[in-house]
Amino acid sequence: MSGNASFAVLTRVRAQYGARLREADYLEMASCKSVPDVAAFLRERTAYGAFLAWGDSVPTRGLLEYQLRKAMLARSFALCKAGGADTADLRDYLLLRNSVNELIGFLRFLAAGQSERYVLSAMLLPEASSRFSLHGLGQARTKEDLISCLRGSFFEKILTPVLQSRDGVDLPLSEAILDRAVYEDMEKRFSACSSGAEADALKEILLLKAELGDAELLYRAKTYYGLSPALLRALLSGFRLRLTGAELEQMLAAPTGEDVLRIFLAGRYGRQTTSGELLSGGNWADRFLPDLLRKRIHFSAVPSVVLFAYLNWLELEVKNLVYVIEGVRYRLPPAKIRELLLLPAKERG
Amino acid sequence: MSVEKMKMKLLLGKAERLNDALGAITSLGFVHLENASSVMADTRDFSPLNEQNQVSAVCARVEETVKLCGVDPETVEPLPGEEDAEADRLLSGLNDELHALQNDCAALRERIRLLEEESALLKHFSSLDVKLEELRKTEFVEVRFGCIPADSYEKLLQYGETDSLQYVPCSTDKDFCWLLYLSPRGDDDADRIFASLFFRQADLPEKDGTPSAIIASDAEQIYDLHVELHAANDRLVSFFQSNRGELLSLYGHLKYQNEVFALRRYACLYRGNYAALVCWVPEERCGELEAALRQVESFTVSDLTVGGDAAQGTPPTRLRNWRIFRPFQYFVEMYGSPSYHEVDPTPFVALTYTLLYGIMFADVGQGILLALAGYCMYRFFHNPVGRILIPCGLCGTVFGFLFGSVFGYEDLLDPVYRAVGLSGKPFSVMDNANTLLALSIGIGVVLLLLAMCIGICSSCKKRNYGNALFGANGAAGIVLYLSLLCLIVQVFDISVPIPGALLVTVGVLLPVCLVFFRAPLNSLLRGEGFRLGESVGDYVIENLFELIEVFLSYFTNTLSFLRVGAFVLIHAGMMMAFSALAEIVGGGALGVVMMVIGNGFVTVLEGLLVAIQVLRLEFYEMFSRFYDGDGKQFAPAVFRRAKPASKLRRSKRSAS
Repeated sequence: MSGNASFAVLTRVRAQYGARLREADYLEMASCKSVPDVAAFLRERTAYGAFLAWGDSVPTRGLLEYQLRKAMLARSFALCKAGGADTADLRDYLLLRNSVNELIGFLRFLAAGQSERYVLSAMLLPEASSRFSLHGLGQARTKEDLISCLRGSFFEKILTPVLQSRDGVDLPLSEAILDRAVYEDMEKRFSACSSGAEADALKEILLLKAELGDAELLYRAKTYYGLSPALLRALLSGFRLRLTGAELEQMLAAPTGEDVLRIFLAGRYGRQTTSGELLSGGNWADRFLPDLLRKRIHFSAVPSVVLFAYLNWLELEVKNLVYVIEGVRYRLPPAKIRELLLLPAKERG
Repeated sequence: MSVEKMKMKLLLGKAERLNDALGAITSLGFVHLENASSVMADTRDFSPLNEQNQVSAVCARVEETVKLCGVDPETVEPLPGEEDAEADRLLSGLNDELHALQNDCAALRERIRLLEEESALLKHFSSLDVKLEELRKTEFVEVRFGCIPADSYEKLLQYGETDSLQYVPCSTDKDFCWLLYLSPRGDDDADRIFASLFFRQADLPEKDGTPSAIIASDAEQIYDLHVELHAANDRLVSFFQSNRGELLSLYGHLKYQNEVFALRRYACLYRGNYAALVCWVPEERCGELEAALRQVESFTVSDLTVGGDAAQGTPPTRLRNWRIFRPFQYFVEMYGSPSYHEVDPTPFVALTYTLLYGIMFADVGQGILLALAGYCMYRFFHNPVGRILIPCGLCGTVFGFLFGSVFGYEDLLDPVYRAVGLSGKPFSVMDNANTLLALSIGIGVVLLLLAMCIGICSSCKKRNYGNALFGANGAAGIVLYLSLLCLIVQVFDISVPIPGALLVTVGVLLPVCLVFFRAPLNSLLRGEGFRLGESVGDYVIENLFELIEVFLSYFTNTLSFLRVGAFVLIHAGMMMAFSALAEIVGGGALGVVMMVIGNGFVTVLEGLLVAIQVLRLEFYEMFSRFYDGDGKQFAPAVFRRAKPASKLRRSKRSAS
């Protein structure tokens, strides 16, 4: 990825990153008295303003969060589109990630026996933003409908055997294999990059999420469900970045979540965080990503790396906004909301 | 020429005298208020000041009257709070009558507003040819009117209608779909579905008839109410005319109270009865603050040392520069205010920006024009860039004398040179292009070294001695940069009186090692031992790349200064082109016209390009070596001054 279009995207990304929300902005929102005040701040003073619409009425938390997520996707797709063929891989990542999110959303409704309700909470995006027919998914009511909707798509071979293997829906396994599919597909694409440094930098972000997702899964499974190592092994993505094989085996064999956490913190990740920070909310990956993404956006000269880092940054930004909105709604003090924010160490006051 | 020293002060006194204290503070104009609640958050006995502004509603009402009577509220000066009794007298004297008149107007306006809102709401359902009273009487279902976002409507269409979900879309606009749905009594399934679609219920009026019929009747009522409102306004205006002086004075007082209240949010309560303010004050003016607050009963001033320095936060930055350097603060603040412990780069920017601009825009005539344009921009439009262009234009004039260029005429100054005993222009640009480019590099080297020296001072000021000694822009960096320069000039057969081996070992290898190990050396300096802070592999890889970047940045930043010489050549080249065009058209009047066009074109284009390029050199090549710019700007608590009426008229004219 080294065409002129990608360098134009790099400029756009850097410009948008320059106007990112900073800690002071979040704190200003956190000190608002109500969700509509936060909404007004977002509409008048941030780049999200162009995507938020509620006429003269008062926006609700649900509507605001939905529109923010939609805005994040719209901004991400727009950046990838601007890069044309140069950013095709990253556009595919977005399509895949979005498709998997929608599929997981549907499976949750299906498992609860309310598949018809899925469409009411779906993220409405153009058909072209998915690897299969979202309209078809909205019409699906049963597992068979889902299988026929996925026919001929990337997910057919991945999800159909799991769906057919037993009555009902094996939600944890389905989620795990869908996530794994995203990581495997993107890892292959990133590995095929012409430059080794570019491939390494792209994979670092991707695999950090995969690996920390695994570690978090192990912690939660051991703490709340007591699942067996054999079952857990099937749920892991299997990608390694900073954890060693021995550490992973120890975590799999650990009797409790506390032990998983202890082994995890004794490894390379332990130098960057504490158990308190890790368990303070959100995904584990979210605690490590801000520093890595900031570093890549600031210092990488490779457009695809900067763009990929920024796409992930936008996700974190929306998560931060959701923390702020929820915090304001439940009247948390700004200092408490501040602790939840996902920000690079260098941008924390 | 520095960042002014600040002291944090705690002002404590009786809560009822807080307004007086704030009045005294604002009259001083050099006190930066901090949010006391956040500074004292971890301290016992301090609690936030939760109160509602009682004045704002009255102030808004009086302001409305003032506006209604043709006086711009912004021209009314806030009146200090010492006339509380006077204001109360005025308020009570005028209030009853004013209140009654305003209430009449407000009530009429409110009725109009409600009717207009009602009509606007009903318009969304005007396609519905059903009487509303019939829908209210339904026995088995409840009818709910409202809207859902356009997105949600798409979802609803996909969801489709079921037995328990019946709806009638009435109208759609850009963002919303307005509809009604039927919810069977005793079954809230439809309600839950619509709640998940962000349904917002609209309360339709309890009126009888179809929506269209109600809209028509509302329109008639609105017309009648407007007529009544007009008459009520006339009564208000005549009241104002007869009590103009008192009303303006009342408004000024309320405005003052309102602005004081805005500052009260910085205060917090101490043990319930006392108010505390936390502020930053320039060190040398602490005495003035104490003297001013002595006039306020019960208020005391003390240094704030609770919790140590860390708890006090970062002091705001107030730049103190010579008058001639002050315009360039604009550029510095554009990049970011210097932090309190950072060197203020304004003088450096002022000198280097003017010098580089002058060299790149060297023309006697065009320089004078630019200075005049800058003066006009500042004088008539208050544009801060104007003040910067004046010295730049004048410097361009000086270099224009050196390069012998007046409006592109290269030989116009020859008699002057001969008069002072020179054979010709001191420096002919076109004949010495290589020298000019070499000189540009030389200027770049000097400026980069200066930037690094400032970086060392800044690091020392921040007590970051490790960075000052071992940083790529610290002492080690300077030695490395100079040694590399010596090695490079030797390639061009210029001898350097330092032995090659010494240059390589002490000048290059030693600094490279120091820069490479700067993090552990830094922690060693801080007495924390020789620590890498991460794994050896990570450290080596990361720092190897950073070292490559350091070498590249030395190289590219130095070469970047070639643009200085290049612009001098471009200027000469472009003016030569226009001179040639003037000759082609046959000289005379047409030639003069061509030269005027050429000068206009070159002045505007080059003026802009040079401004951008020099700013780029400042920000990118130099600031990146020594400046963070993450400071907090000093913002003294002051009241907004009233605009003079004449200025207001001018700004309104320009706005229209």
